[in-house]
Amino acid sequence: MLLAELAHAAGGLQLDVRLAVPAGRCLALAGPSGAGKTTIVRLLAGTARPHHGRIINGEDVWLDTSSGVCWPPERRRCGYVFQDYALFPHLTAWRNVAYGLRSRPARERRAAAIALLEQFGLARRADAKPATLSGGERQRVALARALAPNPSVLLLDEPLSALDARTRASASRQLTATLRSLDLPVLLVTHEFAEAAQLADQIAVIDHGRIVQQGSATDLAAAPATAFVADFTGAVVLTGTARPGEGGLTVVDLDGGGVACTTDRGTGRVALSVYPWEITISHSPDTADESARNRLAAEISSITAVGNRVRVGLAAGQPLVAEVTGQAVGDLNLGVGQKVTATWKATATRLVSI
Amino acid sequence: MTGRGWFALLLGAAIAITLAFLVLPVIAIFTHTAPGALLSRLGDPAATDALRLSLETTSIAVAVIVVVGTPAAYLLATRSFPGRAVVVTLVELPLVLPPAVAGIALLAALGPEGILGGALADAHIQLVLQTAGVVVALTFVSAPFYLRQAQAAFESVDSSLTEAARTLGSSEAASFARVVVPVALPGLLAGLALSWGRSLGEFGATLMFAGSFRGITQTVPLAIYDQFATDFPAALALSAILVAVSAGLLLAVKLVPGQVATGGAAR
Repeated sequence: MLLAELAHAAGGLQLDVRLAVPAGRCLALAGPSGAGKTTIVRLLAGTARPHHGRIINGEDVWLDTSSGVCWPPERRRCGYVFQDYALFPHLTAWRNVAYGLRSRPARERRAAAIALLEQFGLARRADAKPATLSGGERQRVALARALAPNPSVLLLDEPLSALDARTRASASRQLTATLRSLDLPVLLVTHEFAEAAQLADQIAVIDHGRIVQQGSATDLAAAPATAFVADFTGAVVLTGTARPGEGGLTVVDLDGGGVACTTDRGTGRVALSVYPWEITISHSPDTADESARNRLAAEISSITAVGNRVRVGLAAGQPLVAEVTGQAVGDLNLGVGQKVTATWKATATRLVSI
Repeated sequence: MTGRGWFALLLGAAIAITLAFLVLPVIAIFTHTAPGALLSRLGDPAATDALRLSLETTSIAVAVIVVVGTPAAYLLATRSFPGRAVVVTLVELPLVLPPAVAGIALLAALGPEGILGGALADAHIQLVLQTAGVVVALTFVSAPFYLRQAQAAFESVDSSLTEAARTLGSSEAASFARVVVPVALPGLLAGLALSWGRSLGEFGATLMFAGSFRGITQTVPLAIYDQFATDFPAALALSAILVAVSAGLLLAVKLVPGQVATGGAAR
């Protein structure tokens, strides 16, 4: 179990977080750039020192500013995968992996490094210098190097963000499998909700140096605590003023015009969130035989294919995004500039206070 | 003619003029006297004494510069402290000092009447008019060339490499030796060549501080000056040797095997 309470001020950022990561679990610190994620990782690894804080790993107190305890990074020996991998450019792949094995006899080091590279499908690249490795290979060498000395904690700083989209999918699958096999606390930093959802058991959404909400990916998507979390999970966020409506529904007068209702309760200033795939598009403004309660007149501002889906940008009082199939775009003959109606259900609309 | 055509011509002409101006005097050294005559001059004991002394004193000076300057440059590259900019400027100061001023300054500091003159005399250390004085003068004028280059080389090493080494169990000193220095090596060697080249050619400060005594303080540049008035071919022969040694140094650094790019290559 890794426990940390950290308070730190650096470059205008006030960091104040508490973390608890059990062994065999992966906690994702997810949030926008500049939220303080990398700083937290560096404080844990010991390459930076917080103004106030405590870090306890199992039985070991790594840091306690109140009693002046601060282990240097070489004593904490965190497995650390850096954002740009930070492979030693002057060493071959196997020597990179063997770097942390200084305590073992020279002959064992090579064998151990090769065995690890083999496990990551890289045995034939053992003698290659980092500059000649592909992005995906570098990522795996970095992971093998971090794991080689059997660390008690694994820290991953944006482990996939340096990869191109194609390599990313396979690297992400391999990383998921690797993480599942480890029995140590893993802390993952990412700016993408989808990556956090795939790799981690728990996600702590961090903004401006504070954790705004922590939970499983499903928890966060289903019940975002703030508009920021809703936005971060990929939902459309609409702000407005809530009042009680008929049949126990809450009616929200949206900023910029229009009305939407939700089955959640709330009053005053609120943010509504709805996922783009819950929003449908039609040409006719009145659909009397429709069960969905929410309708907004909008103009199509963009049409972008994303894989087998199409994201349709909608300009209403506030911008919306609907996700539909390519066939739907063809059947409805949708084009930029058309006036359409966006429709979604009150039951798919989450309300959070702001 | 297209717009790009005349500009390319202009650039070509500029490099041709530059090369001609810089290289012609060097070529002249070798063409003025027949190679055979040049070689025969090497038997001259004055020439061999000067050459031996130059190689000894510059080697010692460069060794001192590397041993002390490498950690100093690392500190300047990686630590921020109040007055850092002032320290960096002070270290670079000898670069802009005229050699004669450097010689006077060394006399004022380390000469018999200098600030530390009494202390040195008490310790039975004499620098002025001694071979040790040559080493001091060479170190003074050529150290900034190494320090500047080494500092830049260390600054270009990605700090995440050091952090990675630390998390993998290396102390700060061990990660410096095993990661930072190897990654910065091409830059360090370039600095070494620059400061060695500068110290091989040093003239003014050495002359003023250590004098020009054959076998004791007369390095190759001083011997060239000494012979220039009386024996021009001998001066030419020595010059040719100095050019060859300096060019050899420069080439050796350019051809250093394993020119790994610094930190950035791992991205």
